[in-house]
Amino acid sequence: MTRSSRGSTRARRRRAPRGASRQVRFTALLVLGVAFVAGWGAAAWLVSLDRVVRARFEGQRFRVPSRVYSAPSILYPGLDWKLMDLEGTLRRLGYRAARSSRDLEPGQYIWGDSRLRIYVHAFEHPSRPEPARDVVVRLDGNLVDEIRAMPLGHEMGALLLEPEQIGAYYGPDREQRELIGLDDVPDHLVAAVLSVEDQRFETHAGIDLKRIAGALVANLRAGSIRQGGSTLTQQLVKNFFLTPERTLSRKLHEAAMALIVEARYDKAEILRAYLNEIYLGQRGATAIHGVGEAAHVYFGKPARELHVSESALLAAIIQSPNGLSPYREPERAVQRRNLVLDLMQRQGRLDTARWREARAAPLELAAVTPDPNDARYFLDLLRRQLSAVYEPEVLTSEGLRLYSTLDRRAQRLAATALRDGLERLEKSYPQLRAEDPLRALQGCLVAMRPQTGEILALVGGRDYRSSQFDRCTQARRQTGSVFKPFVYIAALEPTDGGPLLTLASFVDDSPLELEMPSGPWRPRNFDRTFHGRVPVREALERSFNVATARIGQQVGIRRVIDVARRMGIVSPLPEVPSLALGTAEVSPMEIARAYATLASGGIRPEIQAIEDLVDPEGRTLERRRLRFERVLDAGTAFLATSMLEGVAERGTAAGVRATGLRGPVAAKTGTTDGEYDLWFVGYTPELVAVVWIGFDEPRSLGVPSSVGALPIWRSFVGQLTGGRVRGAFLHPGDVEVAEIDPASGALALSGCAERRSEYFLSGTLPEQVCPAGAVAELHGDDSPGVRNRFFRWLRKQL
Amino acid sequence: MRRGGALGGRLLAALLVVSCAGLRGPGGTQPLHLSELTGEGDPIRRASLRLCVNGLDADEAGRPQTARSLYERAIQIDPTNPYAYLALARHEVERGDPERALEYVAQAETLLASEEALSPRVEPHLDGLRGAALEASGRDGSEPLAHARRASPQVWDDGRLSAGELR
Repeated sequence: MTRSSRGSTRARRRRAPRGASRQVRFTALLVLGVAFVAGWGAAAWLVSLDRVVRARFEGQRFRVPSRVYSAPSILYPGLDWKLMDLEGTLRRLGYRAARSSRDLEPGQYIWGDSRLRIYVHAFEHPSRPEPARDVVVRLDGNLVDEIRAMPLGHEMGALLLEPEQIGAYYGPDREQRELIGLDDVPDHLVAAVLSVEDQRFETHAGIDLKRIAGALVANLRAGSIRQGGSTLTQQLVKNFFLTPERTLSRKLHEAAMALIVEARYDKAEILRAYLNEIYLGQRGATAIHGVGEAAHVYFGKPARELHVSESALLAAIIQSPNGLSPYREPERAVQRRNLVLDLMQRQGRLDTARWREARAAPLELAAVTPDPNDARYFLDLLRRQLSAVYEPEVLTSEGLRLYSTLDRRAQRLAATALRDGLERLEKSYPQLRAEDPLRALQGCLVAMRPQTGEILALVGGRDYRSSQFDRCTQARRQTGSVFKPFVYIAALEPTDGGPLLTLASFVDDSPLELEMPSGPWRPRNFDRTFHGRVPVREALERSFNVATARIGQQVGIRRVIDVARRMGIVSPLPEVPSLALGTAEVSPMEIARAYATLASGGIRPEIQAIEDLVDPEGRTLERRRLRFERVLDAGTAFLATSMLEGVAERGTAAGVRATGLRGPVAAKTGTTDGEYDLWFVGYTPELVAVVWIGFDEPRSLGVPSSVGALPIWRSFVGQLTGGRVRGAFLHPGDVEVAEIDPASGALALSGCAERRSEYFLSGTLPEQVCPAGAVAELHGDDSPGVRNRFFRWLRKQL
Repeated sequence: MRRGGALGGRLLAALLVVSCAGLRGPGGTQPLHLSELTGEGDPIRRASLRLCVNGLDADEAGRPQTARSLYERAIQIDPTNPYAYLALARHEVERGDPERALEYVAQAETLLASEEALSPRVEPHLDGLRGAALEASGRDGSEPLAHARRASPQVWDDGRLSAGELR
């Protein structure tokens, strides 16, 4: 047989069942092809899901906003606890009133007769951790009398309360969570969650068929969807990767991904992710995620300190965090909590004694402390400072902790003082009102600790929601008379030839005309008159423009600029005569720092807003260091302060005492030409505060600073200090006191009709005496040193 | 009567000697310890000084970060407490930041002068810290250090002020 004939025989044989076999083959091939394609498709789908799962689980799983905290509150004997708002502080920190002092727990306090017992939370911080402490604070009226640590009763000099959270940097989802590990989660919390959400979690592979069947039957019986069949893993997958829509496709995705998650990761890993992800309610516009955050929000404590009943409550509200909110629906929440406790007991996760105790436990929640929003400008300042080092994404997602210098109480008082002050002004002067909030009268207030430059309060505008522009740090406005002290300091500062002025000097407030390229410049006073020869103190106290402009010319504008620069002014300062009157545009923060230099005796502080920055692992990323530099001699700073005390006592700022503020205060008003900008700067030995008022698009206010800005400062400082300023301005050793004749500025001897005390830098006492010629015969030696020694001796004799 | 008077005189002299011995050590002035001051001043100053002393304890126990934080808290409640800056200056000298130490010494000195508290008991600390900081920054601090050694040899003989010595 030839090859070809063999082939044709086979062909014939194959062709025999021709019609049916072809169809079978075709179908088989089709099935195989479809199966192959479907298999490939399914495999590709699963691979893509796997990739998505791995990317999330092995990358950054959660966006954790960075939180910002205030400086801690400190209790000590002698503190006015009512003034520092101890009750409010405890409430904001999530402390809860206990029913009895027995078995007090961290985060609880109890008031007794002249006694407060607090179990202070532990404060976790890499460099300054504080243990949880049970302390007794004895009270004597408004004052803290003594503090003792229990149980041994050791006396404590001071007690630090943990810092208050003042805000957070949220991502677009505004999720707030505190990441915790399983070690931080009590067993009963895990038991509570599993008993109600997924009782076979430990054994299933991502999908619980038994539960699905049970849910199906229950829903069919009810005629609607009453029960879900999702496992924890499915819930996690849904929250992590999917939308909440109820479609078959979404369910398929959820099931497949749950299987992948279970195949790839162990149960502990999945549980940890779930406990950190689960949505547990709302606080204002912020979503609370995870049991760590929820423990703080609902119970004011970390998750590891939760009781069984509290754990059960958190597990209970997972089903409907807002519908079962213990704040809004306490009865429903407790009812479901008890259901969870019952399930725990039935499933053998809770013994009967604890079940009974937990069921009987009353609902004790942390006080609701809504975000007052008053520190938003400060948060923005920190964000701007940190943006030089960290990407914005880092702040919104990496859970850093920023410990700031902000004094929570000072901030609240500053915000209130500014808001109320502006409203009062608009009420008194209706022309200042604007319908459009973007055109409203604005203001800002910044307060600083002068010795350290720490910002204690910062309110950058009237309403953060309508304008985020921070007028304290981002705006530069003409300063008006608050610039004048730089001129006087330049004139008082000793140079090789001695200072241009002493505090006994007189200055000329008669008409002045200076030729400028743009034409003659003729400064005028606010009262449109000239005052002739006036004492230098009066010139500043009454803020005479012409006298100040003349001093500026005599001392030289370049020296005035040099003084301002040394004291912390960084804005451009044009070298023109009008600079002396405050025509340069400067930010309120710069002015605050410059005046802080005076309050701290000539030592200029670096501005500080951050104490430290800590990452979620507890490593310190940034740590501030207090920095300062002597830029003025202490004597000159003291003389300037003394002059500004005169402004507050007798001059344009005398209104600071109107509500009875006692103690040392130095101040300066500033009203620019046309009353476009109103400034008020005042300082005490421990505080400097600057108030600015004006419109963003400059227009006249028609009122002076003493009417517009001063009352805001007075209200703020009055409330902050309780009306009593502590301490004294630094009095350096090289400043001497001498009696002078106010009419002439000469040293006053016994025959002089009038006299008053005045401060002088060593070696700058007046050479003239009153009555004139009384000791002329003693001037045998003309050298100033001998003369000064003599007058010093003479003064002592007097 | 005369014998009694002589005895009284001797007793008075002995008391004077004892009290002077309290002020002057074997070779100079008895240096200032901050723990002596915790009962002085107003309540704020007292609390602030207690925090300083706690800070010195922490420094002595080898917990410098806690120590610095306590000094900063001392300043938080009493920013004009010169001893807090003094303790910070000592801390910075020990931690190797002499420039900051010099700033703190200057601040402490200004505040002490203003309070008229610049005494022979505290001046050796200021001189010694200034000298040590200058030396540590590569400058000549021998003169202030020599002053400190002369005035308070029991502290400054080794050229440093320990936390325990300031405490």
